[in-house]
Amino acid sequence: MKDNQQAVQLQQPTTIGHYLAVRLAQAGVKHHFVVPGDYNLGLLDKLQYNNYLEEVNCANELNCAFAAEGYARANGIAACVVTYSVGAFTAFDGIGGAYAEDLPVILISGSPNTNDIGSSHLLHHTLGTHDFSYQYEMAKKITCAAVSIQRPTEAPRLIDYAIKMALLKKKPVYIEVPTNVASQPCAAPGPASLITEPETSNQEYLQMAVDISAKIVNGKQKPVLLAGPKLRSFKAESAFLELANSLNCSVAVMPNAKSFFPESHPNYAGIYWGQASTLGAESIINWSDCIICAGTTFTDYSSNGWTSLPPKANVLHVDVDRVTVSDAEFGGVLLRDFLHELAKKVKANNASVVEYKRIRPESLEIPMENPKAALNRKEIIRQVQNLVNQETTLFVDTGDSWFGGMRITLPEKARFEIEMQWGHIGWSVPSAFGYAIGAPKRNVVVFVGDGSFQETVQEVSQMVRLNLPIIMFLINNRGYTIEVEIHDGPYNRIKNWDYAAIVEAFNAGEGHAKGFRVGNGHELAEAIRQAKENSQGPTLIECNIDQDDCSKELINWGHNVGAANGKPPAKE
Amino acid sequence: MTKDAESTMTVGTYLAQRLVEIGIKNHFVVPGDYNLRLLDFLEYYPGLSEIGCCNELNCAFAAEGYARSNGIACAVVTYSVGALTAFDGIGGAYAENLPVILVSGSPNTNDLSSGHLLHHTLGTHDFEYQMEIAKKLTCAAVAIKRAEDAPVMIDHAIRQAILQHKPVYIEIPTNMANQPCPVPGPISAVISPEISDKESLEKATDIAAELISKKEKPILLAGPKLRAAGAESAFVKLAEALNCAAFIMPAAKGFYSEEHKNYAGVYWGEVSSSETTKAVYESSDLVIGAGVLFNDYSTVGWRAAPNPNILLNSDYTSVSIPGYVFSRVYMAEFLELLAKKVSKKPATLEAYNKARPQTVVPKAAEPKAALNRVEVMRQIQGLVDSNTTLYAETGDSWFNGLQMKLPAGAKFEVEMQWGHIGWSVPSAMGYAVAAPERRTIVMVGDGSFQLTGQEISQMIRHKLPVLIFLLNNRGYTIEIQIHDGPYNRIQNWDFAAFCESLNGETGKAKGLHAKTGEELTSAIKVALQNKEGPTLIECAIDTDDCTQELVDWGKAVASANARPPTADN
Repeated sequence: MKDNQQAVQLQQPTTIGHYLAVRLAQAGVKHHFVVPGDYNLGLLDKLQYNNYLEEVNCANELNCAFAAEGYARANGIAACVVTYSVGAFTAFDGIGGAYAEDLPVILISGSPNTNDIGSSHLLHHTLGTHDFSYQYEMAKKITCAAVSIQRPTEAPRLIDYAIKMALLKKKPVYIEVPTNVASQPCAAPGPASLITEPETSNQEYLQMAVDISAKIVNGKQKPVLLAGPKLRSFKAESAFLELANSLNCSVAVMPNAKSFFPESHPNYAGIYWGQASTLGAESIINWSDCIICAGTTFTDYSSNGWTSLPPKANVLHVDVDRVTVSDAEFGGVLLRDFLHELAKKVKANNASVVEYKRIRPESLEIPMENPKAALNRKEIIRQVQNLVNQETTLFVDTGDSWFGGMRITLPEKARFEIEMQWGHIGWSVPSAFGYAIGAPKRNVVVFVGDGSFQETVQEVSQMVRLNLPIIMFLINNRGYTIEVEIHDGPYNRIKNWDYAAIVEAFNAGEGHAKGFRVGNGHELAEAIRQAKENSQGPTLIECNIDQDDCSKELINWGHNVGAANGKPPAKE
Repeated sequence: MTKDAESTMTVGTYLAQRLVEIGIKNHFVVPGDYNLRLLDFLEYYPGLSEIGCCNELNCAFAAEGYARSNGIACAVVTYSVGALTAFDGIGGAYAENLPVILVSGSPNTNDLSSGHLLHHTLGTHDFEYQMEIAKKLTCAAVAIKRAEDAPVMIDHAIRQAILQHKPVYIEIPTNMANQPCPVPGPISAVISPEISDKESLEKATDIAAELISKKEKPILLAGPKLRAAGAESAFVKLAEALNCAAFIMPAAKGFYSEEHKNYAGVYWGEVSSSETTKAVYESSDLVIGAGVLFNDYSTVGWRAAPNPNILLNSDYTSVSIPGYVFSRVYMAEFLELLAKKVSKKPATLEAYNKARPQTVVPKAAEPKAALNRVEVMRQIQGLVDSNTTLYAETGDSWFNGLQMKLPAGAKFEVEMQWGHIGWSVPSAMGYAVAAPERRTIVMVGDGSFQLTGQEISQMIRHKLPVLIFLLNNRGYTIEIQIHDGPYNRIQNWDFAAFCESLNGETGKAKGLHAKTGEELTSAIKVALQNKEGPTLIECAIDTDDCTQELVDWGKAVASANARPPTADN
């Protein structure tokens, strides 16, 4: 990596477009996702000339932002380039998702020619007013740093600032580059370390936090660990594993942190999600007197409509840059540093492991269905389970795919991707596309519902274009099941499509996408066999199940979330 | 309204009633758990019918299309994950002067100060960001936090949409739709129109008439705001009173009849509809604008910018005459009154008629020859009648569409200010919902179609016989002509197969390929017989086959985009 970083450093004055390209490469971006529009074309040229960056086209800007978000999941950071207003407004939805999910995505937008600002000119792709700052103002609301380059001399400082903030905060940032600015000269970029140098913990606070926490943990009878969604973004998974090994306690995982702690680990105790918990996780958390919550965040969705939260009195909470323990709070303490240091000071206490072995429910293998019987959700999960190996990354879109995905056991090194904070239906298709570009050696498998798929279907065509062998299981039950279970009405019924035919329509006689429609276990097994053989393009397997076939976990969860949504206003 | 009915008034019912009272029969929705309870109320209100959409961008554009036909529209989405995408279509409605009421669910009011983190949010405790963004692209934005405030807020937002011809935003928390609220007063308080200040109107028309009387070669120019202002018939009266040449801006095609005796073509600088149009316009000594809007696209990269010294423009609520501005003078009233005060000034019309461009009827191509753009347009022209609405997507469809002759009654839809590629498919769906008796024809490129094409699914669901001509030339032609690069090449699809795959078991959409004139003729015949769903005809043309006007215009716009920054002082 060091050689690579040095290789992209230029020695002579350059252009702003080239400067940005170099900085993106130095930050670790190897592909950028684009939808061209006339305010960004000059910049796209400059990015193209950089040998370390490869351009990936997307069908629209929502998919573009989600593809970048998926790439960031695999690669650690991503960039997407769109045009002004008509492009950026839609991209903002995916960027909001990146914000919610702690993913550093650099959103770059073209903007009007600098000569038009302050002139009496009205411009296309704008609201038709003389104010061209509204997009930048909007970007500030959903990014951790937003910059608008109005003078070429400012560009290096602004670009460096934005990219550095993305890397530090693990949040999206916004860089606005006017259409006539990309080709303007500017100073050459300096060393990569100017933007990539990591933040460090305040050593004094770190030590204090660790000492106090260790004392408390060591004084408890029944400590357990709970892994949260921020562990991956903030690079704390290995430190968390160290702590789990040192403490030798049970480890439960929040649903949106699945795969951030290996399920093959002997101390793994399942998914903690209230009534939707797996493997007895809820019981062991409730039993504990000391729950170390690492990188956790509790929302109405992840707490089963507020019915399932660890008891506050027993929680030691470690957030990304602060630790809350009994009555004390320590800022400036980074998650991975804290976990790493704490691992050195705690004593092993396997009380929860002993108890867990006692209460752990038997893992009932899903019995194989009659191969000719009508397909159902459990049979799908059973067959997909057999597909999951160490190289698999499983994407689950918003809906019952979440609950089905929780039932899949992940072998070591298998990965799992979910979007539980933002929860945008349709996210998985473009995100998996971007992920597959960032991690071309992994087997990407997607669980998506029919309603979700209809939102973002186009991006399958980009999988075709780039020969990405992604396997998509489309669970077709003729509706938005997640909304049905939260609160039903006729608006949750959708128009059915021939999903297999759509996917093959993207081939246009040249591509290698395959589409299957299956209605029983035998057909599913045959489709999976052919999908595994298709290494030249995506495969979609439409799995037809009954409209009412959904997990009882979704029913319970939907009921609780619906109740939280519908709680009447407080009386004044 | 009986006493019993009054006692059932809720925030949701209040909104539903207001929507019906302002003339909305269909609302466009994407359900999400923050809006489901509200959707119940809209669903069960008599007179309102729900149209589901595949995603929120398409939903907002469908509503925008409905507003083009119906005058006003409503879209309902969920919080954040829905609204942030819908905002793109709403920005388009703002730019194009279309009143769309965007309604969004939002978090439960108990969560606002509870310290709770919620799904579908950024994961912070700030739930105001969506409202803050909405304020930037609507003319009024309200967030209902107490049921008793709902009536005045809803009425305010709707009234502003109607008065300003712009979108508005109404945010309704997930637990608010079912809360009791006061009953609505008469709808006239919301919809009664503003009228001009009498003294200003009189003086503005006097000064305008006096200015016109001193000119020898005045012309009229219809702009894109003419329709929204309800001033189309007033414009005709003025044209007849002055008897001068009357031009239209490209985005105003269809707002003034091309069969009217004063019609003199589309003025678009060097890409105007004819040399005569350009020459007569540019030799005029006064441009009387009605709802005009000059941007870099409509001025060919500022090469056809108006001379402010000879421009008189009537906008929605004001009139500008060189040296004067009059506020609270509404376009329709101004044009009508001005028509009564002017005398005929026929010089420009006479000049136009002397060199009136001859209608060139293109010859039919060889039936088996490879299809080209001119042949496609020739065959589409044969379909256009007084009952047709022709949609021209961003790109070469603009230039092709502007060359179409529109008989009286035919309409034309274009999105030239916002210019969002992909707009036409969902917008045409919404338009067809509002105007089911018209034949809706869409001309769209392959790149644009890929952004929003799934909305054909809703045309199928509602049995809308929209006819879509997809010109497949393997790329984003408009960007290629502005500034080319490999990013303008796209993945090809089998668009006809895509269209039919959206049928599922029961749909009646047809997808057809045409590679020759003969095949196109056959496809059109099949399309005209399909009354139960949309038809997409994929027309294969060469990558380089585009209008000379797009080439010329693209160069000029690229030049404007690339002007270097001025040196810092």
